[in-house]
Amino acid sequence: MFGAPIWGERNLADAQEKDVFEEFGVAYSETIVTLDSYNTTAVGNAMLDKFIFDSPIDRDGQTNEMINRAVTGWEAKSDTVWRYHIRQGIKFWNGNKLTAKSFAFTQNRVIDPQFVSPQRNLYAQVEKAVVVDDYTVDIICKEPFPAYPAIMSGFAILDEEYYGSHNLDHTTANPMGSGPFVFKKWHRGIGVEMEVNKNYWMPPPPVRVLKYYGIQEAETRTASLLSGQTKVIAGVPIDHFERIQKAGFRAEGKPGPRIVFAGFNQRIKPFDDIRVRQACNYAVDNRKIMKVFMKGMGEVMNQPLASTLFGYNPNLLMYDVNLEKAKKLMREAGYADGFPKPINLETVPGIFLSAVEICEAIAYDLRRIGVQVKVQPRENADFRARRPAATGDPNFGPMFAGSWGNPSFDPQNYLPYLLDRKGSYGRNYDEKAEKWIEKCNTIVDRKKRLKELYDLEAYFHEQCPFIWLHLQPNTYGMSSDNNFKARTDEYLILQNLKKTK
Amino acid sequence: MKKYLIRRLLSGILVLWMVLTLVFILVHSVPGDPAQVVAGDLADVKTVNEIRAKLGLDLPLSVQYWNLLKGAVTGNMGVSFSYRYSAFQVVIERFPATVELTLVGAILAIPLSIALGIVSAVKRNSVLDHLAKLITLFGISTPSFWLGIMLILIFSVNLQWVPSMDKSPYYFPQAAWAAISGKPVALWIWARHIILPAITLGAWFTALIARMTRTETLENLNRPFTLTARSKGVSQLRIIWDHVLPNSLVPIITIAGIQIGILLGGAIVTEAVFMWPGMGRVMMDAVFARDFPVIQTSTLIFAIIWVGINLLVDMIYVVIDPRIKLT
Repeated sequence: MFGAPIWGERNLADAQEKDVFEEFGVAYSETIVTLDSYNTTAVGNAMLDKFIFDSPIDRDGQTNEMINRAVTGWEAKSDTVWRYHIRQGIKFWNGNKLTAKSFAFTQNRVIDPQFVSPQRNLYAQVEKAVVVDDYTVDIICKEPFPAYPAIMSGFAILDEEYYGSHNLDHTTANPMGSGPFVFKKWHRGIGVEMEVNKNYWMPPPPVRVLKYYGIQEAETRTASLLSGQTKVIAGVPIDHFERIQKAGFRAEGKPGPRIVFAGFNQRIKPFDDIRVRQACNYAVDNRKIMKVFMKGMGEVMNQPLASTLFGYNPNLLMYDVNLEKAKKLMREAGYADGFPKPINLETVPGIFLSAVEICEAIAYDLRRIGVQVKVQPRENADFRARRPAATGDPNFGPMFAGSWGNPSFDPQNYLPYLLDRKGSYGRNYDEKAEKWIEKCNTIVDRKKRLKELYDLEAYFHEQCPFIWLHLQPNTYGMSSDNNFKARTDEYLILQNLKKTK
Repeated sequence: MKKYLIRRLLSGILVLWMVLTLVFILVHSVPGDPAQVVAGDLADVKTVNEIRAKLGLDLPLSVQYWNLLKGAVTGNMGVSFSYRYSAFQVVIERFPATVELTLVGAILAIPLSIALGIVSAVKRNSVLDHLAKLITLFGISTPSFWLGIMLILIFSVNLQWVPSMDKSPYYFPQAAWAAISGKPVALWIWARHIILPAITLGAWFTALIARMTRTETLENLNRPFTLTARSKGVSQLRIIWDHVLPNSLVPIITIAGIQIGILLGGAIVTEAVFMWPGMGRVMMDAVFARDFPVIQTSTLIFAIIWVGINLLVDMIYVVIDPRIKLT
């Protein structure tokens, strides 16, 4: 049976008044537009869910290990059945017990064709969830689904009775959870106010009132920390670090799940030629880009999966800058004098930290091998509509820069979206890789899956569907009166929070 | 007067129809797929198509247009794509915050700007005049984004006098009532939250009206009726109050009326900087999310306000200057 021990340190039960924050403000860059977790894929909601709901597991913010939360463990009953054992003693705020029924109801609601959840595709392999007994639930899959346990950190368990008897108009504004904080009020356009759940099944964080703010403007977010209105903010621009630290606050970055890349539209010349793609990788100085724009807090990449993700192959060499080799490859591909006309590199300002600046740096580096690149900042909705290989603009790009991150840290939530034509990007698919990705997503045995992923990563390393850039750090700013540390999973979990002053 | 009002009402309806039609054409012309935005990056093509059908975006454009016009008449502007409840409710629940901010901005700006303009004109070429000109130049040329951030850095971050963002839990009437009922702190909380956004929003307005007042006052100070009053020994203060100011007010009110309308729409930047939960931010978010019902509803409401303000300004002319007849 899988499942790491439950959270270690607890404090509120024994904490003295002086150790408790009367009010604690946290902020992220996304405004909350719904409180029904399964009606959105917004990261802001995923953060909020950790306060309001219980999920089967959490991640250790430092080691990234899975930690049991609302379950005591799980096991693979067969290649297509996952069995979960629910923790006893958890209650929703309305007094209802959190049981196998709640788990099964939540799972079946997400995949219900009538509900049309934007998260449905995450659970595409699930056929149904079946209650075995009060505290045991089986997840029946259509085919092997090895990533299922990993995505459970983002699975907010709902109360069957409440969500089964209220329509979306109601649940979108009135959540019913079992989490460490009880929902109090949604200040639309500002954030969500919560109060500590005094009946929480484990001692909750030492905070009486928690305020989540969705602050889109980075300057305002940082000012909210410096003026004392918030105590922890996420998504801090790297160039704010110095200012925050000089003011006596803390600013930290930690490599997380978000990878940054510049991709090629392989359906369009000249990027249908592997030599051109490799030449671009030899020309772009990704170490320098990481050092300058991430202040060295990220990690340079050389394959689709980063070192924090399952399936990362540590044996592959980096594409260090080698202009001679790059020019030779360009010559062999018939582009000794570069391309006849400039090509577009499309991106969205803010899609990753310093997006436009990094694209300009890529354009500068590519000029050294005769490739003239025009950086084209696009509006987000326009970019997203034109991007998918299946439904977008066939002439998208032919270069584009983007980022991808998923708190499951599992390749199933990366490779199909980035390198399969059915995915959100998929501009650089090839049929061999598509079948290979599908195979990797159905091997339940962890060791076998890892071996297969190593080989797949080596294949992509050679094929260069991207210019490998870096793993972006999760950045946080904190006041000096608490011990919150930058986390690997992008969340704002306060379970181990302590007052330090 | 009655005929005039009916004519204005009919032309107002025509304006609203044109605005709605234009917005409908625009939102459907710009690139970007609302269903894709709602579905997010994880959704497959099937889910995106189902969401499109659920949002009614698979209907022919003519049907969508007809539904929009019908909705505008009946008050049912559809369901917000992002919020998943009535678009009208989404917009209208933010309306008081924007109106409050705009009114406080205007209330701070109007007396100050008129005083500044008059002093500047009366004391022409003096130190006061130069100082006033410097202030108005600063107000006109400073982007509100920059001014807002600077005010936050000075008064919230460094001095920690006022909050850097967020709206107080009270609107002014609630705060005032609480103050009357023995909780003066409510009024204090309200004022601390609104002061920086109101100054930011009102800065440009102050500068514009001050400049306008100065020009009008200077012109009227040299008119025959002013010279006659002066030759009769009337004091400078009375001349300004009784003769110059009333004659200067008509163009000032025209501009102020238009500007209040612009302030309402222009609150977007201020609202974003100060996390003010107003209509401007809803509208901006809706544009980025391609939330058509919210874009159309907020535009319609802005247009109604605009038409209303213009009508009101015309009415005020009659009160201020009896020579004006509305026919």
